[in-house]
Amino acid sequence: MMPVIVILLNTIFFLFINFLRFRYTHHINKSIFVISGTLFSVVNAAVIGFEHAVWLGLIVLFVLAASYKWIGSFSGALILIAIYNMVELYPNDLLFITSGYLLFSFSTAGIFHYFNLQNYRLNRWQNFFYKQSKNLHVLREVSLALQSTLKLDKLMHIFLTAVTAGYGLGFNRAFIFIQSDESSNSFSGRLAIGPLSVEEGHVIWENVVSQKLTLRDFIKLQREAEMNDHELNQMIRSYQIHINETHQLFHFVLTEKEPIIVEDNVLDSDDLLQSIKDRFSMKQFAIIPLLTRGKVIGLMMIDNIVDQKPIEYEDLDNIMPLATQGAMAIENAMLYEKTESMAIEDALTKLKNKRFLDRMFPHLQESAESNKTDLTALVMDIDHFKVFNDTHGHLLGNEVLIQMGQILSDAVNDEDIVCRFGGEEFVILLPKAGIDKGVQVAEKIRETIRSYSFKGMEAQPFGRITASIGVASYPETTTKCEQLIHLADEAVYEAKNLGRDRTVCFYEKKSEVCR
Amino acid sequence: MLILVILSSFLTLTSVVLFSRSFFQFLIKRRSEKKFTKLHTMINDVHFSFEELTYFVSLPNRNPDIFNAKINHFHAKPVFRSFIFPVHEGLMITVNESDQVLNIAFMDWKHFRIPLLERWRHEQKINEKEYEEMRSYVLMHKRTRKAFIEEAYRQIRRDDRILIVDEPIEGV
Repeated sequence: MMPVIVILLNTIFFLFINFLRFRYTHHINKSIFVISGTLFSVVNAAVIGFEHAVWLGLIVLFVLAASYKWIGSFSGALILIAIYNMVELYPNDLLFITSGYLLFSFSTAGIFHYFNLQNYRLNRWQNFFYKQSKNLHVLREVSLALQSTLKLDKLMHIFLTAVTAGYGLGFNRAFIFIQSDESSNSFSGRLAIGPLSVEEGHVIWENVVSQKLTLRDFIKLQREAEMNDHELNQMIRSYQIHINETHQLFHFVLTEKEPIIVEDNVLDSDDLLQSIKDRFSMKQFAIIPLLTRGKVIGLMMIDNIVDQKPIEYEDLDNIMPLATQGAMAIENAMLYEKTESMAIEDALTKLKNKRFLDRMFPHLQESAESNKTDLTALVMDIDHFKVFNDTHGHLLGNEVLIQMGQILSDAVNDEDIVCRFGGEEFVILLPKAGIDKGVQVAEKIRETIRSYSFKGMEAQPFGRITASIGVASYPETTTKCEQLIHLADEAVYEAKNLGRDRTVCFYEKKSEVCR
Repeated sequence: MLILVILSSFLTLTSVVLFSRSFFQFLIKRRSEKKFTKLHTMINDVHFSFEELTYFVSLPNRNPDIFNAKINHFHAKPVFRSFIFPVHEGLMITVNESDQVLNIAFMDWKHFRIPLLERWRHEQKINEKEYEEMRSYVLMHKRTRKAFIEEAYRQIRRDDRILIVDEPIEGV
């Protein structure tokens, strides 16, 4: 009865140890498996007699082959044979047992080796496939999203989102610098996505994950992203990079048009690199050129501030197609913005033009009417400007118009609109301002013009350049909001008729001189 | 006696091969639950990311076998490698439709990210081994499997017009 109990206890002990071995690291786990398997065989051999050690030894060889493959299996076989030889267990059959053990070791270790190799290959293929699949997925989503807009800020947000979101390429932070108009070696910070510190990174990431946001959600959440990274964006927008030959790595990126990885410990002597590292708490980071038609239009920097995952060259290979696609979209958007701005801007005074006014006025009118708010229009005409042009020529006349533009821009707030209506006529729209404010602004402008020292003004009547201004305000002086500019223009005529150099307000019931 | 030893040896080795994965899962579950309790956190409070889920089908997918499959035909099963020294490889999402099993997506354990655990690791509340075990536990958990099925189901039926136009789309 006793041997049966020992065999059962031995079996239970072996299974129990096998349960516990998963508590430990892989190496300890393997050692425990080998030791427990050997102990199991030894105890069983002790119970049924060591003459059975020959086949119980196969269990030891099996666990050794499973744990340590060829080395484990063959060294186990040799040790067992040495033991048998020492204790003279099988003196007559030792050669036969040796051959058997070696053959068994070869077969079992071979089988395990084969499975391991297959697993390794499968794993490698899987990793490769997953990466490719993800890159393709990101490229697809981003291509779709990039073509949805021509707004530069939105495009850059989409692009950086694709680089930083886990659903995208998953870098912790990314910064975009765009080449300045003045110099091809100067770059201004435009947009960044990412945290300022590891701790902030963890908080943001937990929020993102708890809200279950996807790449498309990030793309749509531009405003929220800017709020999250407000401080970083403030820093980046005030940051400029000027690259010269002494900045070797940046210079390499510009000239060779190749991305590079900047290691944490390199080139502390490079003041530009050091400044970037200090400013944004960067360790290892990558610089990627934004290339379009062979030209560098900007630079992107990426780093992994939160998880400190090293950036590898394979990552750069993956990011380049996306960077090029982003660069093309950014260049298109910049060109579009430039064209759009040219279309609504007066080339001489740099004020907005009539086209802009025609486009903008209906919005302001609708807003004033639906929100029941004030809207005041000022129309200004330079007095005797034809005389000035005839006397001094159009070149000097243009100079006066440019200075007028500056005077008008300085006289109004940011939300007010100043346009050159045509010739020497200007229109100013003051949203949410009543007639009193309108007259106040008009008088300020008139007084400034009157006292301004224009070149050639001596030849003008009364020896100075003056302006007549008409003011109309909705709903105070007229209920016809749609005719506001026209009515202010009528008031200008009234001002002209009354002797020029004055401000006249239009009142629906009757025209009335304000000043 | 000899027969008993032969039988016990055979059964023991077979049990090792057959039950190692179950032992492994049980131990990970026990140890992780203990750790979560110690850190005063319930598994339901752990948020994880779907972001590294790799799809084997294009998204959205209009293949009737996939698109028309009901959510209860979707399954998420943990995938292991090796019988004696099991390694948790990830979670495979499949759909059983028209007598065939279609692989839909795979969440690789290596890429499965849980911000809370990463923060705990950063704050040294858990060590590397505990971090790995807890990630495995969360990925194998029933709630996670259900969440991954719902995510895959949602992605298959998603509307990509949201990416094409710059304006909000009704119902998307």
